[in-house]
Amino acid sequence: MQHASDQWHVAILVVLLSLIIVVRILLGRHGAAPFIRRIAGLNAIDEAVGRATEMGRPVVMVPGISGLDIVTLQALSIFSYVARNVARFGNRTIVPTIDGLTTGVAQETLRDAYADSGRPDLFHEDDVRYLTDQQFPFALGVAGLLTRERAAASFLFGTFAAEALIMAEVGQEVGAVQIAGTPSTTQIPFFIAACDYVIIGDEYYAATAYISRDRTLLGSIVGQDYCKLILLAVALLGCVAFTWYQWLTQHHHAGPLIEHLKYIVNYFKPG
Amino acid sequence: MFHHFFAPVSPHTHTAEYVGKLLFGLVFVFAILAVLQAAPKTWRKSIIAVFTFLGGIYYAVEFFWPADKIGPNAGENWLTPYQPFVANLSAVVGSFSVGIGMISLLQFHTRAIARQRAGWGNSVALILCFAAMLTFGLLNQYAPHLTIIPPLLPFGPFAPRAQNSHDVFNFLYLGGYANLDAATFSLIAFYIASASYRAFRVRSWESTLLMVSALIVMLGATFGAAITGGIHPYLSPGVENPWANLRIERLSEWLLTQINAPAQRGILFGIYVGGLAVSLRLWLSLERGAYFDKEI
Repeated sequence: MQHASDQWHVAILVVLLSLIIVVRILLGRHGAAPFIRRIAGLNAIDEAVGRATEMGRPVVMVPGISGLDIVTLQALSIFSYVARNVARFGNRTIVPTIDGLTTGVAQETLRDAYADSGRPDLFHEDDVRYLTDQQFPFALGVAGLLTRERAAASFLFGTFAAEALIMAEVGQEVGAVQIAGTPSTTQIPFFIAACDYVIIGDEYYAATAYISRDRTLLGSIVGQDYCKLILLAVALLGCVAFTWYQWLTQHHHAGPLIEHLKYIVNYFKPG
Repeated sequence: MFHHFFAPVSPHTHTAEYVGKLLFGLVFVFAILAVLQAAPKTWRKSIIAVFTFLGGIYYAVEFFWPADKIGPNAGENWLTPYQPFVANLSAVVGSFSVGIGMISLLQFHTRAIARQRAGWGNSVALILCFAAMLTFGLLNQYAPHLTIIPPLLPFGPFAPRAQNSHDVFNFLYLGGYANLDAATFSLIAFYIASASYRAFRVRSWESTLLMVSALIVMLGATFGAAITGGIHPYLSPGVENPWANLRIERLSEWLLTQINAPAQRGILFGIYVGGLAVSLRLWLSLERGAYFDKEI
């Protein structure tokens, strides 16, 4: 197992980044709300929900193919906000799941969202459906659901793998407005090809802050930006040190500078 | 103590211990659930926050506590041996999802049959398949040689062999499920073609760039080397040809390693920092959002 004592510099960096995020969350509860740049995919959510209502067809939300982990919880958090809007318009939300625990949490999340919007009568437990725990049968289940229900909007948020394209292409075929967001980098190109809007990288984790404008979440986003600046600086330092070290070595230089650079270069090598 | 108590027990050789531990586990879980239900609503959030914190603190302390450098336990600290125990706790909670999922699935489809909703015949098919797989899955595990279908001709050189429960399970699983799964996977090829057709249309500067890049990478992975094979890598022995950098396989590699990989790493930096932030918010119960700031 990996331990902090194997690579203390990595452990120090993790602690530093964690502290920055926690401090910014605590500070974020006070003072002015920070600015977040416009994210097209998230602005399109209301448009998609409105279109579904006009067409009188339901909204389908897929929380990925992993169990109840951080990524799925984030997806359900986003769905909660979207479902409030769907409920406000008096429309149906269908959530197919691949995991039993996710089914329970999704049912509670949607029940709360519909109750908060003053339409608890519109929530049906059967609209949150456990389909299977297998990847491709789940994709086929979602594809069948999109086709039978003639979904007008489809939200694909969570962890996805090879089955992502099956769901996204079927959604495209039935004419649904599709918004996808995933931290699975291998699936981003497929979503870009098949969906109308794609939320990339850390936008996925910024989504709830962007939609809710909650101060705690906004503070977290500011902390994350500081962390990324630190990582960028560390990456630049590594690039400069490595290039300089290579140049000095090739030109047969010696002395304390090359030793310092060697020390930095070794720091970046995996332990 | 933990190791001994949570060590695997065989139901065949230590039946009494197995049943005892099973009953203890069930009683313990239901007692915890009863305590949670009986607790005042204002306490529930605090109880969950404490359990969440305790669940995460093990991994944090285990990671930061210095590990032994030498000796029989090199690479471990005093908390490392409890790793399987903590992992088993997660596995136990995870295994509940199978049961919950099964109940949810059967409830939905039995309701669909009872109310004769549109497509209720599919629900009947699902329940029949479910029952068949469950029955033959269990028989395959516990009575694999049980004869299910007797030989049609009891004697003679062409008498077919009796089909036992293992054969029937294989027929259902390998002959049915595995083939359907593979067929679904193969559908992706056609969906890639239709998605690529839309994505690679020349509509804007960006889509043109995407199409050209994709073309180079695809050629680089197939017969691109043959197209630019005329560009020799060396002008003379030991002297590299600078034009050789325009060979398709080299352009393809450059695109993948110098353009695509850094972009992906940039995205991954953001994802990992975002994941760290969400994990911290959940672990320390700082999350405010969808369902975390509600009174449970």
